[in-house]
Order: sequence, then structure tokens, then C-alpha cells
Amino acid sequence: MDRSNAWLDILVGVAALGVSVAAWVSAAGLPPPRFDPLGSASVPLTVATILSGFGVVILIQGLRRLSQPRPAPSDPADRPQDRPARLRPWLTVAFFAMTVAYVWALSTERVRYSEATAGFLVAAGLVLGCRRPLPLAFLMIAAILLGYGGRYLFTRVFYVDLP
Amino acid sequence: MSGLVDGLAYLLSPWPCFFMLLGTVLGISVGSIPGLTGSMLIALLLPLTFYMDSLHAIVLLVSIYTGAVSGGLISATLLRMPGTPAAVMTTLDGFPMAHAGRPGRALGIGITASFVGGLIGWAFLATLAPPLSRLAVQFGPFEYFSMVLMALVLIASVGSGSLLRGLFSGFLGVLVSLPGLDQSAGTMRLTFGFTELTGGFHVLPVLIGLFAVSQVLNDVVWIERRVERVAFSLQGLFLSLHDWTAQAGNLLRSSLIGTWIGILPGIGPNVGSVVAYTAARTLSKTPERFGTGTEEGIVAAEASNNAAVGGSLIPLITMGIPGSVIDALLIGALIIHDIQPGPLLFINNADMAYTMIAVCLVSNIAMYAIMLTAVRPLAALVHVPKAVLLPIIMVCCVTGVFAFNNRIFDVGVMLAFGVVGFVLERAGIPLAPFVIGLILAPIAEHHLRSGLMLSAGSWWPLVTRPVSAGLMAVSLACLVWPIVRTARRRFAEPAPTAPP
Repeated sequence: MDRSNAWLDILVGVAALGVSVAAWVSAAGLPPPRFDPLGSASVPLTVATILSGFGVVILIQGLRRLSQPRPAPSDPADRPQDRPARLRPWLTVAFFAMTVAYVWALSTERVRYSEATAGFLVAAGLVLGCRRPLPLAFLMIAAILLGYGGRYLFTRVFYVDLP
Repeated sequence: MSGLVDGLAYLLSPWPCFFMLLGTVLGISVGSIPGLTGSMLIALLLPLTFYMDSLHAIVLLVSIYTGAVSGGLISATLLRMPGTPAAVMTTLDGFPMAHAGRPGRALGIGITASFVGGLIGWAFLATLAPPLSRLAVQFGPFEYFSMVLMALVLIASVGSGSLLRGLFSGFLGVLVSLPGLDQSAGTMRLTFGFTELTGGFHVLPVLIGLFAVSQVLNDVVWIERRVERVAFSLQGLFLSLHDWTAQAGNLLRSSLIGTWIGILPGIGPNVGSVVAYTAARTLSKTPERFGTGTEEGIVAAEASNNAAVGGSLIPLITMGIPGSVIDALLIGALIIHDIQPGPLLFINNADMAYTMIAVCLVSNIAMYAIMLTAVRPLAALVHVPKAVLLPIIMVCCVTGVFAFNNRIFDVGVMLAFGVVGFVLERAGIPLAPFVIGLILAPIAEHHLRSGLMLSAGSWWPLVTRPVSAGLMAVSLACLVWPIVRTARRRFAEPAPTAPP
């Protein structure tokens, strides 16, 4: 675990605390047990309490790691040209945002499943760097097959409605 | 025995045979593509199996399991990237051997070891599952609760990463399993006013989010990862009798280790291959050659991870406890088909239990034949561009989850758990305990509450009943041992001296 993961630990710790508190408050309002010794609230209260404890420890670990000094700039592992691959966090955010937009478009039912799926596949492939003719052609065929073929499969074979 | 023969005969009929071959080919293909895993494929296919006959569905899924664990060795050998986590130890010797101009030999040894390991794991599954199941029927609620607790603690303590993070992940899974109608008391809990949560989080969107969506997001982050490739040749793919006999001891030992690790609840092929590889290196006459392309290393890693498949199906079939993450997905599949895994499986659904055992054998044989004959096209699969593959997988996730319940809410749940899984993995928090907690917590709570009602609220049976006490002792030991070990290491380390 290096220093760069400290913010992730802090995020996980805070989120765990938030979820635990919400679960604890919600479970505390449940009626007392009538038939069995434990009742509905005991397990959620216990799990929320334990989870908040773990959350605090992970939060403290993150804060401690954050307070450690940064590695020296001469450290070869810290030089971008020596890293094995360039990480693409913003590309991941963009891809996820496109997926959310695709799901939102399906939920509004203004766009048909076939068109939305075909459009998403081509757009996402282009964003991820699919530019060469052969993979692009393969992607377009997959877009048509999954979009229109998928609609046919689910509505006519499985009898499941798609947007 | 007649049940097993019936199961084998059933697999030879056209549709089961087709699904077995399809599952094995799909599993090998997905296993050989770095970044795609068997658990991802099984999670993706779960919605489709809803429309299938339950026996066909389980034949397909168990075949994928067998294929995926074996397929991981192709990219581990040719690209130094394990296709599945279980093949990580294969990279240590498989790639150096391939790099030294013997890729066919490395693949041949790996495929043969996978086959032998799978056979030995299956032999234990076929002989141990029926008697263990009869034993497990005698278990009461306290024994069941203790066993589930032990599974949670085991996977958190023996799995990769720290005990704290493993337990955190497990309890998070337990919390996610709690919302919805409490069936014992008939009250709603943790729904926060969402009517969609009345039935709780369905297992399917959560699993697809955790294993498929999070993996896709992770692959996008690493989309520019460079890989070192080796020239492919088939020379040395088929082993001679001398090769088999030279590795016989290693094959047997590694397979037994893999089977044993697989039987332990919650721990699967990933840990099995690490333990077998370490044992092979310790007992080898030439331990210094490990990591440089030795045949012993490939045999140990591949025999153990395939043996663990049969081993991990033992607790699933006999007690309803998943032996690995994929087993947790298989339990999800059984639940979707209204089949309760556990000791009563042999009584209520004997055909299902014996089919699972039979398919483990037949798909292993099919895997051996397919991998030996089609290794060249399979090797080409490792180069499929991610930019094409990842959007297609995402569309399959969205469509599958939506079609399962016709609810866009489930798709939202899947995306949310995709982000949760992605963040947890990046923070070094393993996902396996999460899934075990998610699947087993309702069973554990149900048995604990039943037991407490029987004992008029007394907790003593947990430690006074012998089996329950034994399982609780194992859980306690697993919790305490890492703390003791860390304390001993710190005590043994010399104190740092101040510079002059």
C-alpha cells in the first residue's frame, strides 16, 4: 500500500461510517422482538456497530499514510516514463458516465433499446480508442447484432420487454 | 453410485452435452483473455440461465468454472498476465519457459497438470460428497451458524490482504444482505423508504456489479497496459510417458493440496496454487530454478488450481457453503432456480447433486481435449482489443440485469455496486469475503434465530455442542493467529539503532 492509496482509504472509511450510522439509526427504530429472543433489529445493529469500527480503523490508516512524507522525486518508481503503463482514471470516468447516460436513455423510454445500444457501443468503442478499420468494423457488426439481435432475442424468444 | 452413473448418462444426451461443451469452450476462452474472469462470465450468464432448465443451467455454469480455471494458463504463459487470478503462480515459470523458446512445452505441461489435478479433485468430490452430506443432515441450527461464521473468518484470514480488510469486506456483504422483509418477524428493515427494496437487494445485480462492471472499469483504467509477447509454437505440447512419471509425485502432492484448500470454506483455487507452488519449491531438489521456467513450478500451480475446483464443490454440495467466489455465484444460480443448496440437496434434488459431480468430471476431460487441439486459436484470443470487448460486456451486463426483473432500478443497483467493487479493489479490500457475507448472512441469521428460539434464548449451545464448539474454536484460532503472528514478528525484529 503506497501513499497514493491513502485517499481511497479515507473515502472507504468515511463511506463505511456513513452507511453504518444510517443503518444503525434505521435499525434502532424497529419494533422490539415479540416471538424470538433476537428480533429484527439485533443483527443490523451489531453489524453496523462492527462495520463502523472497521471504518474508523481504515480511516485512521488512511490519515496516517497521508501524513507520511512523499517519496523523493529521484525515486525511479515515481517517474512517469518508468511506469509500466499510463493509468487512465478520467477515461474510466468518461466510460462510466457514458454507461449511466445509456441507462438513463433506456429508462426514459424515448429511445428504443436497439438504437441506444448500437449508439452506445460505437461511441464507447471510439472513446476507448478503437480507431483501426478492422476492430471498428467488428465493433459496428457487434453493435448491430447486439442492438437489433438482442432486442429480437429478448422480446421474441424470451418474451421479455426491453425499453 | 447409481446416481453418479445416471448423472454421467444424462450428460451424454444431446442438450446437456451441448451445454457442457459450450460452457467449457466459453470458460477456456474467457479464462485466456486477460482481464476477463470465470466469475465475471458466470455472473453475466446468470440472467440468461433463468430461462433455461435448471439442470442445463448448472451444467453450463460448472463447465465454465472448469474451463475458466484452466484457460488462465494460456495468457499467463504467453503474455505473463494471468487470465484468471488462479493462474498467477503459472506466470512465474510458464512465461520464462515460453520466453526461452518453449511455449508449446509450457502449455502442454500446464494443460496436462490441469487435467490430472481436475481428475484428482473430482475423485475426492465423488467419494466425499455423499457421506459428508449425510453427516451434515444431522447438523442443528447452532452448528450451521458456527459453520457459516467459520467460512467468513476463514476467507478473511487466509485470503489475500490483511485480516482487517477481509473482515470489513465480509461485514459489508452482511450489511448489504439485510435490507428488505425480515422473514422471521415480518417487519421491514433498512429499506429507507424505497419500495423497490422490499425484497432486499437481489443477489444478481449485486454480483454482476461487483464482478463484471468493476472488472470492466478496472480494465479501462489499465487499457494502455503494455504486454510482452512471445512467438507461439506447438512444439512439445504432447508429453511423453517419461514426462508423466517424472512429475507424478509433484502432480499428486499439488493436487491433494489444491483439493484440501478447495474444501476449506471460502478459499478457492487462487490460494491453492500459491500453497502448492510454495510446497513444490520447498521440497524440490533444485529450488533455485523456480521462477526461471522450471516444469515443477507449472505443474504445481496448474494441478492445484484445477484440483481446487472439485474440492470447492464439496462444501457447496454437502453444506451449501461456497468453497470459492465462483461457488458463491453457483449458489446464487441454484437459488434463482428455487433449489436450496446444502445437505438436503441429495434428498430433495439428487439429480442436481449428481449432475454437478458428473459435469465436473466430463467437462475436465472436454477441457483437456479442447485445449490440446485448439490451443492455437485460443492463443490468438489473448490479443482481442479491449476497446471492442469492454463496451460489449457492459451492454451484456445492462441488458441481462434489466431483463431479469424488468426493473431499471436493478440496473442502477448493478452500476452502484460496480463502483463499490472498483473502489474496494483499488483500496486493497478483497471482494471474496463480501460475496460470502452477502450469500451466507441470511442463512446464518435464520439458523441463529431458530437456535435461540429452541434454546429459550440461551447462547451456551454454541460452545457446549461438540461440532459447534469445534467450529467456533477454528474461527477463534483464525482470528487470533494473525494477531499473534504479527506480534511475534515485531518482537523478533531487532530494534533500529541510532546512527553515530
